Amino acid sequence: MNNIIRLSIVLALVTLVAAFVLAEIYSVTKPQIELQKLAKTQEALNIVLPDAEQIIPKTNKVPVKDSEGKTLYEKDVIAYYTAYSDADTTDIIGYAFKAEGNGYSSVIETMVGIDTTGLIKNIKIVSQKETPGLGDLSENDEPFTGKKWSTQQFRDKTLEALKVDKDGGEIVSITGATITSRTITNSIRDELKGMLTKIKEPNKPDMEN
Amino acid sequence: MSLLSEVIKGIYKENPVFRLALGLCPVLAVSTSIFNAIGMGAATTFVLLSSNIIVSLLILLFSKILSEQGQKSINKIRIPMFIVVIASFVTIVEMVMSAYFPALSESLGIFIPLIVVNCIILGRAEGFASKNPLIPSIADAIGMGIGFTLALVAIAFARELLGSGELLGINILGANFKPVLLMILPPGAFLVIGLYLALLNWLDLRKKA
Amino acid sequence: MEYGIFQIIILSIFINNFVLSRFLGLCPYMGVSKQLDSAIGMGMAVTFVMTIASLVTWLLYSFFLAPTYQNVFYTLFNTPIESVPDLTFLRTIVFILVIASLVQFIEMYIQKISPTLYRALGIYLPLITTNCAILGVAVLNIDLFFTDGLPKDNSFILTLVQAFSAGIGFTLVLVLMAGIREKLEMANIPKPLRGLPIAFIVAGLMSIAFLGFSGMNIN
Repeated sequence: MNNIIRLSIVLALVTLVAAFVLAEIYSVTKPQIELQKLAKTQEALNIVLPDAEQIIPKTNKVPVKDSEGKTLYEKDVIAYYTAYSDADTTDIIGYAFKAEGNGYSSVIETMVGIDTTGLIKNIKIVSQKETPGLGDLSENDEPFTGKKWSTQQFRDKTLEALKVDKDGGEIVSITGATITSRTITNSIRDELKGMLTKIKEPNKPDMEN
Repeated sequence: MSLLSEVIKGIYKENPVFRLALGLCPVLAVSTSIFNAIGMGAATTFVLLSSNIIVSLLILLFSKILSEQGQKSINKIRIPMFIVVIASFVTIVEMVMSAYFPALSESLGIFIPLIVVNCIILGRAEGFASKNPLIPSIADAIGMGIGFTLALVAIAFARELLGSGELLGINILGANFKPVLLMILPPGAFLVIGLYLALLNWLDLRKKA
Repeated sequence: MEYGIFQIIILSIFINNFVLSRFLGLCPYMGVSKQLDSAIGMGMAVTFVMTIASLVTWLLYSFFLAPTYQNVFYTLFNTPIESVPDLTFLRTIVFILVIASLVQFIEMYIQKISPTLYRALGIYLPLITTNCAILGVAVLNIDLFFTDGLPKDNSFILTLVQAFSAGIGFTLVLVLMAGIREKLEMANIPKPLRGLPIAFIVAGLMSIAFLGFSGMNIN
């Protein structure tokens, strides 16, 4: 018994040393990881809202509840971004929002830019870990020829047209990556629906997030 | 065995993938492009080298400061200790990759943390580094790492070239080449490695004849 | 696509089969699929370990590593939720140690309560520790069912369902493979292809068959 305790202590010590070293390295890499995320979001915003001079996020306070439904605290969540053509934020030229959906093997995040009437201007896949050579072709942003998936095909699509061809819509899906294509298309459509009501009544407080 | 032969054995005669059938999971999953193959090979070699060094040094330390009996009891927990060492270096790779190589980190996905269960690493730590001095352990790790990376690149070469017409992202086979999509999909991985193994067997049989 | 229980089951067994599509669990798949009874035994052992390991790792992650509202720092020591330490970087070490210890305990337990079961399954258990499928499914549970360190809805149930279904899917392909390989033993295979090469090619063909599931709409 004594021996087991001694061995466990040795093992615990080794683990502690390892954990300490890792914590140090984590404290250095974590800010860098956060920076990467912010840079990525900013890059996506610049792509989907190219003419914007200022992009201001609109945050909502979202209650985080425990298992009994009691509110523990409120988190700041970005609902969408408003784009202005000038630095004084007087002239709104469009909005951007994130659409998220469960894909084939990962959660897919898309940044969507729309104009003030709700028409899609551009989209950018922010993060996905779909199948290499298949689902990850979703990031292809070449000019749309009508045959192969491209993020460009989402421009100017109406809500009705925002379904993959297999579901009766106009979006050409990726060959061999139906789930990925469907997830991206449907998540964009769902978020767009919510955004359209929000921008029609911009001063109405958001009843839901 | 001379140091050079320690390194070379890992490349052909005792190639961890093609001869010892170790580390198969990441090989098949990550060999969709040469870029991913090199990235994974580098990450695995780093962990292999670091853990071989630490394991060799730890065993040396224990042999110097512990009695015969002490060493025998430490022997009982050596595998968990090796696992902690390996897991720590894998965690370092995880953190450094997400901070400074986010694209690679996203492509390799869950196979980065899975480096810790790559049988090659624990296999070499237990089978070689714990029984040999520091310098040969380093040579062994380098050889196995290079062998692993070469195997990965060999498979990725076939899959990327035939599956997307590209090598390292550069289009080689021209616009008229219709890519064999199957190569990039899971079946392609199985078929390519099966054929490579058959090729090696055939070469061995010819040598014997 | 909504991740409900039904979706996860179909995904884990067929559409995203852990062996043929996610490439997890290949070492035992190639090593143990030569005979039908050993295939069944390995499959059951893996399913069992996968489910328990996923359960334990989920609990450890929620209560100790991630800054969730179940984190012990929050519930026991009353640290404000923003200052709960983010220990998610210890995930790999904690998970693999847990899995390794679990396998040891399970092996000892089975040896004590049923020597016959131990004789049937026991030899596979040490192999399971380095089975990437176990660690793979544990990590996948976190990646899919947590966002920003907080559990999604039904995270716990979905984790258990995914782990169990992954094991079932693994067993399924293992058994199929064993059936094929038993028949192959009697076939006249060219010398270079004998052994592992033909096994991989068969796996490739099975993988093509399973690709057919990827067109399913399971909403």
